[in-house]
Amino acid sequence: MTNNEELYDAILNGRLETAVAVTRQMLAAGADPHGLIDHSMIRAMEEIGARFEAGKAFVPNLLMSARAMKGALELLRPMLKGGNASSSGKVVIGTVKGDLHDIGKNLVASMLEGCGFEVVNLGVDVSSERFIEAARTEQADIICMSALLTTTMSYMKEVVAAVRTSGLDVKIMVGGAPVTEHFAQCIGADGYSSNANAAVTLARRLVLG
Amino acid sequence: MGSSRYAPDPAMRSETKRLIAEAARHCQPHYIYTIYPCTKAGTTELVVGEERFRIGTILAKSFAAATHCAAFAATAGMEFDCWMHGEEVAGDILLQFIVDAIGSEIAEATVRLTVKDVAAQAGQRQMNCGNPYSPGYCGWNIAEQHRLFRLLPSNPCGIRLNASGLMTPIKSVSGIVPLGHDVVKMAYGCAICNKKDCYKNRIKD
Repeated sequence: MTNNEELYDAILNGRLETAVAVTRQMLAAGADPHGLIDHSMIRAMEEIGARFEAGKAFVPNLLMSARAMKGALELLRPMLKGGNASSSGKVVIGTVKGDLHDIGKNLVASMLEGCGFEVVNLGVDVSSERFIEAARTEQADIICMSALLTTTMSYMKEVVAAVRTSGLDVKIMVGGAPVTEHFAQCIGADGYSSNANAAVTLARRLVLG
Repeated sequence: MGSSRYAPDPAMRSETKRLIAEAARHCQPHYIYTIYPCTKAGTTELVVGEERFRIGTILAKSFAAATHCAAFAATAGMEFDCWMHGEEVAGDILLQFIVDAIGSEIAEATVRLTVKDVAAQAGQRQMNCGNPYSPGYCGWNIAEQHRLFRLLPSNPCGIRLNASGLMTPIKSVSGIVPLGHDVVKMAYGCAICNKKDCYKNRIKD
């Protein structure tokens, strides 16, 4: 097994220590950080995401892969700064005001990060003002909103309206257990995804316009 | 852990076991409740003590026979919250997931104890006890949390509300329980409610 395959395998199977050790070893041998990301890490995250969507992997598997990816990425980060690395896009993500459920939202954030997006995670109970301010400051391509409760998802409509009024050139995607494609269309969001892997696909599509 | 089809591997089992043991050192479950007379107002509202709640049609049915109700708050405690948001757990998405699940179980178990206690008290007054219901669920808006907390002592069990009505510690549950001579403990709301967009019904599907 080559080092690239070993790294791919470690991330796919959620083995943090192995992922970090192999990355360190490859960097010491002069590997290109961008090559590691493109050829091993993102491919592994895409594969675990596809397995999840096909019902062959579960939330803990996704989380373990995301954790391994993050560990390896931490080693690469200092080498990416100031370089000519280009991200897939920048996403501001948060759980809407009145809602504190963040496991699903954090999973989406990890998958986006693992698949090459820059992610600004605003946490929970996020107001429309905070979404707009962060999207403006960070020059985000996408605002990503999550809600778990039927009583809080209606706040997404307020955020969409406030973003449109603000004139910000940003796409809006929504998700969360009670949210549907129909609801997303009704409130004027640009897209909806039902799971973390689909969220990555949607974000890529939205960034490409 | 998110799916009944998920079979945790030995590493996941061992990590979960370790965190449950650790959680036992950090959790300090508490609960408090107060019993009030209540009356229904129309088909969607409930007046408890001096507070009027818009509980919606789904919950109103569960309070149809209630003459009293218990307002309650229960929590896994602030120390659990600090651990959950501390460096070890918050910096690791897998630990976050497991600890979140453990915290929810502790909070729910504390609610079960609360309801057991309420039922015993109600029994002494020849009243039956129904299921507990919380703001944010079953169409009852989370904003009414502030009104609910006016029925309890200030910062009950150390729980504080923010402007949106969310509780700190996070692993806390508040709500009301219907009581009355003719209250019948039905199957839990989720078993009989068909609210299409509720995540609990989606899980059921």
